[in-house]
Amino acid sequence: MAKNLTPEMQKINARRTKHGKVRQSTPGKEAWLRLIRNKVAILGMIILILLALVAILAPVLTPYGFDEVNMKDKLQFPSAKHPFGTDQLGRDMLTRCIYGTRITMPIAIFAVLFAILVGGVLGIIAAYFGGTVDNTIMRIIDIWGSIPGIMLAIAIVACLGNNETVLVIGLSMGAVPNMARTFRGAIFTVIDSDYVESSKAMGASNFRIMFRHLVPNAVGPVILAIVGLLGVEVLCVSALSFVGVGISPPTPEWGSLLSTGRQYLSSHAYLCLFPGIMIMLAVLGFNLLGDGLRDALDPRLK
Amino acid sequence: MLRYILKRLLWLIPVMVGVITIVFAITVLTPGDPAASLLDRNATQEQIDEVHHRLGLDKPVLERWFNYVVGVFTRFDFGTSYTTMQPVRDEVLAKLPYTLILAVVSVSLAVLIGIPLGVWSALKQYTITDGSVLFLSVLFVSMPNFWLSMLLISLLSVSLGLLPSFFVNGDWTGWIMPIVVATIGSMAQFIRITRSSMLEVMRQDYIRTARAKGQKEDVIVMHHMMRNAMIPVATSIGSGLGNALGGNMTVEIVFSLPGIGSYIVNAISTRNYPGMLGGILVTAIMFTVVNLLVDIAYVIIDPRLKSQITGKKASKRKLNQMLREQGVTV
Repeated sequence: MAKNLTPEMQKINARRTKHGKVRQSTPGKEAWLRLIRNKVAILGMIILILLALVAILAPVLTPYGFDEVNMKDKLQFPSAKHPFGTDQLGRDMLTRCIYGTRITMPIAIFAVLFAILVGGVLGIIAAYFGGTVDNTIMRIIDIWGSIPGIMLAIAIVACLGNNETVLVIGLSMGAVPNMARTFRGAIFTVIDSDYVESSKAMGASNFRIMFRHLVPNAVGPVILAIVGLLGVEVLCVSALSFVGVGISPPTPEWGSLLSTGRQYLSSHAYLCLFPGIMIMLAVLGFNLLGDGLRDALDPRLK
Repeated sequence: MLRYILKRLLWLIPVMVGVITIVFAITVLTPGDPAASLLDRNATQEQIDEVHHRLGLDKPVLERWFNYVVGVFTRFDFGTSYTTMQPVRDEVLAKLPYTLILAVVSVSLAVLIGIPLGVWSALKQYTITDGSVLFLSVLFVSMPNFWLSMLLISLLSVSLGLLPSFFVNGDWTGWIMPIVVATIGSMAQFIRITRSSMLEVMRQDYIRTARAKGQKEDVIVMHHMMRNAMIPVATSIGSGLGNALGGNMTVEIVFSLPGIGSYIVNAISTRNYPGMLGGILVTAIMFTVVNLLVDIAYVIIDPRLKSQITGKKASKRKLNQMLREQGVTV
């Protein structure tokens, strides 16, 4: 049971007890309640859930295949039959945009997960051990971070090959410095707490202190950074494909759809319009959710 | 203060060696042979060996790495481009102004427009003004800048014929759209950061004190709030410039602006490794220098830090700790 309750939490608990429900409120529960009452966050979640459904239900949603060539109907402007129009090979753009969800989103999500794994561990170790370990790790991170993330990703992907695995690794390598700094900063805010000292006194292992005590308590800023990074990575995946080093054209990745559409910009601008809207929706979903989370985790600003 | 700046400048040396090492490691892990992509497919082994020798690829990796590092620091030599056989240094220096102009002009404009908008939005919290500024800024942050570029080209160049759709040297109108696109993206960041920083400051006790003693509202906003709220914003100017150096790459490509970003992408697609290495190295140097300038500006804005650097009891540990609290990397 949580001992150090804020007055706000005590009030909530008191109210619940009065109504006959004895349920303790914890900071996490409270943040969750604030989150689902936050309209901005709900809007973001709705967008993301819709995109996830679109990705899962892609074959059901559209009568065409994403690589179904139909030269008779090439470069058709949007109509009832093809709401987003067709491209230079007569492929339905709506279908290609829908299938793009299946490609861009997982790459972005896996890139972020991998960046959390590498950067998070580095940041936690740096913050926990401090001193020389901290200095060494952070110096390396500073050097690593002086190459803009997207440039590092482009260099890695272009040199090591255009497939999804390399793309995930390249993008995550660009994001590691950011993650390491976030984790380190978040751990620093809780490392001097009494509960860390007491578990040290009780002989808990470093590993246990790091992952059972420090990480769960420092999770707020970390979640914010992760949600923000997800949006950035969606942008990066499509930027890489747009530049021509990510996913290459026959696959309907949003950025590569845009790079194909760019050749028809002067006559068929709709080819560029819709994939861009898809990218924007995905990034918007993560950003709105992030804004809502910020308010939920730090209610002082609300 | 001078000692501090000098020390930070010396930090450039490990940064450069580190960046060279990272990029070298990437090129070493690359499958395939750059010589083969320079020659046609049925080149003989002798021709390939000849190219290897000319490019210095017949030497072991560590020796190449060592020679490159020594070359950079003693002769300012960034290697020779595989494709044009020109010194990479000259090529990169010719591209540098375009990237710098785009980054500096767009970030300055973004600061000039974004900070007042952020302050205004925070002062009007809970109103429609605040909501719409916030909504527009989150929309702009979410737009891919190459998409925004294409929309603008489609509207202003193709439909209305007002502006050229790509950059040509000597025609200043070619700058307008790249700068607008780059500005919009980073402006949105400044609005968001300024707003949340202002909201944080507005709830501080010293603001209540100032109001209680009857201070004029505009003095409170300008002196009590702004001075304190600008500290996190100053860091974000640095990271905004840093992001612009890397993130405007796609804008450069869409508008055929001959900056470092498009140079690196060209070098990568032609397997011109020295070109790629030189471009990334120069970007990293700019990034580090920008961060140094921001930290110096920081010390000027925040008097607490100044005493830590120049005062009698200057303590390195305390200074670093304070800088870290503000989110500066030291």
